[in-house]
Amino acid sequence: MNLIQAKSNVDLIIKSISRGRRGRERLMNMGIREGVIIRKLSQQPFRGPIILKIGNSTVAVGWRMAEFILVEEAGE
Amino acid sequence: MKKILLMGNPNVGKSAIFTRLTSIRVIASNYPGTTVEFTRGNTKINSKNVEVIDPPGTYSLEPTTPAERVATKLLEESDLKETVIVNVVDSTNLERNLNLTLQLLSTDFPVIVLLNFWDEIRHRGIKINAEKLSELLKIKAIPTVGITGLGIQELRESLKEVEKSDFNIGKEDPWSAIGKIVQETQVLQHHHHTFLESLEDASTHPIAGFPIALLVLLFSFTIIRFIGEGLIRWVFEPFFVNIWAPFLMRISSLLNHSGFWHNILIGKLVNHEIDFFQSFGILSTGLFIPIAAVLPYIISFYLLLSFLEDSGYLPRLAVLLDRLTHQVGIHGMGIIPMLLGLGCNVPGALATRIMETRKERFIAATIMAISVPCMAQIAMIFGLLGKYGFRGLAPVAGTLFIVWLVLGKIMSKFVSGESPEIFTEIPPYRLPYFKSLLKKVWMRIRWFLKEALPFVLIGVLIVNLLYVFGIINFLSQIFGPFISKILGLPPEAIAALLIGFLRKDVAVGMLAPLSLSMGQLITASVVLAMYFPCVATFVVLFRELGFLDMLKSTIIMITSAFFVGWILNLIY
Repeated sequence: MNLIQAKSNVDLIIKSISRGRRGRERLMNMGIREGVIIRKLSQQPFRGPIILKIGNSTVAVGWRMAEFILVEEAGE
Repeated sequence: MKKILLMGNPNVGKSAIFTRLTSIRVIASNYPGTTVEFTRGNTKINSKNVEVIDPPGTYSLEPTTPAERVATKLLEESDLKETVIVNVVDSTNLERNLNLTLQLLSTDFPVIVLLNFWDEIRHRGIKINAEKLSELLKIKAIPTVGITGLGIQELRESLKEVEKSDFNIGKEDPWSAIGKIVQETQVLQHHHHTFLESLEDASTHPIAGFPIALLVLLFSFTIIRFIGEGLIRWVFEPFFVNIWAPFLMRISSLLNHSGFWHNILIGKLVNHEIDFFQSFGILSTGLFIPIAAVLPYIISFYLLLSFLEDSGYLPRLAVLLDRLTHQVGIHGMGIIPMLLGLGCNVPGALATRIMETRKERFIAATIMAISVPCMAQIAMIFGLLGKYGFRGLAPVAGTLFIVWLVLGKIMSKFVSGESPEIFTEIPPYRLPYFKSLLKKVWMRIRWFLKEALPFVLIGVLIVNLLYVFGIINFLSQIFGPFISKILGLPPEAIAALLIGFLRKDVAVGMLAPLSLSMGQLITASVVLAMYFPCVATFVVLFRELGFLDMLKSTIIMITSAFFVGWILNLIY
């Protein structure tokens, strides 16, 4: 599933990022990369930005970009 | 060593470290060929003068925005033998920050790492072994707290002798190298959600966020008015009325209350006295408008905006308003130039540099210049229309907002290029470091005094000369019929429109003696706000956008201004 479909406030592990090299690089600079655990905090309505927690930082990601971030629930 | 370069990600408290390290005298300058600003100052190391440079924050040495490009360029241009890099790191985000650190270590510069926000890690359940980090990276890693000054003395000592690190990650993937370093130096423990963290979550919450934003904005405007009006009532007006006016009256009697020089310096006397709004001499109205009517609001506005900026609220507002700004083809961070533009359009135009693409910068700069009146103008519009209250002010604000939305919508359809989405870090709420905050406010005020004051004085001078030589009368006769037909304004208003090119506040002030009706004042205020940016903004936009885009932008401004003015004239 992608980040938009994922549940809020559970640990999610990033499976892959299906974006071009540049997009991946920008995400990576913020620490968003494969294998990392993130949490979705909230999602603005009407295809608004998604707020993520990654480590101790909070990041806002646009809707279209979030569609490219594929995640899985990390479980316990 | 002659130079210290403070490199770091955005929001790591670089400016507080910069303020701690440097003396009071700080210069903000533009990187050549760009409008990206960075600050420089001086410090003494080994009793020798050393320049300290604070480039814009960057996440990596492979830049994605013009601001990041400047940070990388400043590094590339530095002399290897004379430069030390001080890499400011956010200790609460060690892993992400180390990415830039490793990139800096792969250059040939000597590096010192500052583990900033050291006081915050404990209550976030983080433990960092700074010695171990020093050992692994083979450089100094100093825990610091910008606000209290912790670690600054140690930094000064360490700067006396810095060696280049021979740390080398070789062919290893940087993130896996970082992973290993973090594992050896950092321990995470469970911690409870603090009140501040709950507030952080609430202020970007899709429902709770909006009432919070409304409260913050209402509160901000109340404070701005309170401080601004207070300064005017208790400081600036008493000075002008009790000290300056009697002094000018003495000059006036020396000049026999009339003549060419009297008109230029003092202006017309109203009921044998100086009327600071209507006399229109260089020393009367020319000084009163920028200093007593506008400056107090500039001070209070930038004090508050800088507080919102440094406390971390603005990116949250950007997230909430992202859907709205998307309508005009820019992402949520585009509200930052708009808000800055409310103070003065020039910093607003400069702030468009945070946008990534040309399309976004063009749209943001154009709609900002058209429909965001600066504090100078707002103060004057309040002065003219304030007596009508909501009935007089709301149509001006409402019209400008509609123009912002409609024009932006049209441009987002027709301007070619990409409108990327919002992608930004949202820093935690922090109490701003008061000294850096004041430094920032002072730099912005100084900018206003340096750039705006001369233009106001020149503007008043030109108005007087135009009157003396009958040029205004001549132009009123030519353009008067056009102005009164389209905009419903008396022919004399042409003088205000002309001066509006120089200064909007002076132009709005010129409407005062014309005894216009409320409808006419509304039309004139809106047209003056829209039709052209003042000279100072024009120059910056010109540098920012280039000749062709500026020409397009100007055509859009003038046509839409007269169109909207015509419609308002039909309504009122």
